[in-house]
Amino acid sequence: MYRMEIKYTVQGVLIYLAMAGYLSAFAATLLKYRRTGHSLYLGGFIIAVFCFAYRWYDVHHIPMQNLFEVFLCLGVMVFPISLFCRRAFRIGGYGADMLIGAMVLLPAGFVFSAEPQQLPPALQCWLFVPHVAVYMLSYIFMAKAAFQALAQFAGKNPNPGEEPLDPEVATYYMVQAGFPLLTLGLVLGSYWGQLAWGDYWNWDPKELWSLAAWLVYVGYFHFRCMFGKKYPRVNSTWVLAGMALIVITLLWANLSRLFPSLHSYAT
Amino acid sequence: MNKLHYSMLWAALIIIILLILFSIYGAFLGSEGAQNFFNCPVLMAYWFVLGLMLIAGSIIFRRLLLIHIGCILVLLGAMLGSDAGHGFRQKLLGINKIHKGQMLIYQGQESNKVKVERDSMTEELPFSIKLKKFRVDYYEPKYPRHSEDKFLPSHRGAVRDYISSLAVIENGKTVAEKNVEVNHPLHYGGYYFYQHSYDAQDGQYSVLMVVSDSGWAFVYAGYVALCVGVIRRFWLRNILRKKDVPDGN
Repeated sequence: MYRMEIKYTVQGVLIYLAMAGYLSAFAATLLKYRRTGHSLYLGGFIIAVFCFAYRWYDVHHIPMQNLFEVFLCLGVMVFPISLFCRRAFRIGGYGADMLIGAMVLLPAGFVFSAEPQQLPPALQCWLFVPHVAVYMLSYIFMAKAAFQALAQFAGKNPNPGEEPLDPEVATYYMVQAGFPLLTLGLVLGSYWGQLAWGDYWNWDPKELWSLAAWLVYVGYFHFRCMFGKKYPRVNSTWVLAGMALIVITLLWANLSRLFPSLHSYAT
Repeated sequence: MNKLHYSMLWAALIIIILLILFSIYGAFLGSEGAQNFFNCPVLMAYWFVLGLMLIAGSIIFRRLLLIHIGCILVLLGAMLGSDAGHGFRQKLLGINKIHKGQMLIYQGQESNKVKVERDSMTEELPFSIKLKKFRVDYYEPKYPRHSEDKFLPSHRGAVRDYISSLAVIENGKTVAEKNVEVNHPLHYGGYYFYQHSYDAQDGQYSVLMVVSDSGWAFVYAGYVALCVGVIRRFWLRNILRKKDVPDGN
């Protein structure tokens, strides 16, 4: 059903350019050309914004409908969030964010269909933008948390030459930043489900996967409340499990025939 | 942290992990199977234990009161609004309320008959719904064909909306009117009425879904408490003050 293909369209080319920007920024950062890396990262971001704006103009609605648009939007959101986290909390992992940016653009560029679609009746609701946007923001925070958790497992300082926060503490910060957004996404989605489908909870597979992801972070908070930093590896395992469930919610639950879902227009 | 807190948190962890496993299992059952699974007697016992744990949590960990109260309200609302909740109130208080069903109404006619989802019986509402008009709106077609083709459905654009103009009639008088469309249900007399289906051939009738709103006020109050609680706790109290180590109390 899904095949790799190259998109010879304006949007496709813009996505490839943004990806190239993010990847070269990552390479430059690895080679310790930090300023060049930052400029390339910014360049990739600006191209991604252009692509998003062009897509918006092209489809006549805010492009957050199908997986192509959602992943493009994630590729736009990565940059401001990593800048914000670095400025506000001294969270390292700048290089990893560049890689995350390239990784989320990859399926938009090569896998998902960019066929423009008009909004079906169920999606014409003021909750469409807040529900999706809040979820995407929280997913990026959780991805950053998962990266910090990996760095904690590896026992390495994620950004050599900088003086970032301890990865375990950084993980905790990132989960705390993302969790209220995750909660808002769930609650707004529930309210929207009531308006569109007739109940605030429909036992839909995607609903249940997203609930499971939310609960894993709830479990993480309870565990960390009990033991603090005593078992950093267990803390990190919770966060990685949460990320795994988010990836399942976003991809497997939408794409697999195992989960016939009310969210099916999101493919 | 004392011993009581530790044992409470251990119990909470077990309860949370169980719910994670139930949710994942439920995701494989499809929505109908999951609904049956989460309403079976064993799970009902689980919900009561979860409720008790949440009450204990909100008593012991005062700083997290709002979050825990929010969860309690959602759970309470869900219990009141479930099949079991409706059955319980009918037995105990004699309140006979339809939980969920459908009504089919022809254009220009009124009806108070609801086909109940659970047992396919027909029950009656204490008021009637009149379908004044039903219509389907389409987007402008992207590639207009020859002008003589434009009334053929295949050359219309995608569907934009399904709209039923409804009037609520009680004791022979019209007491409410609304255009019910997707995302815009009608709320009257303890029920929500949704645009559900329609006569695809001639557009002569519309099918509405009727859902009881019992318990929903609790659920939404719980949602608000939960969201305010997590934002206050994680953003305002912890992140902005750069706290590394959590404190439950």
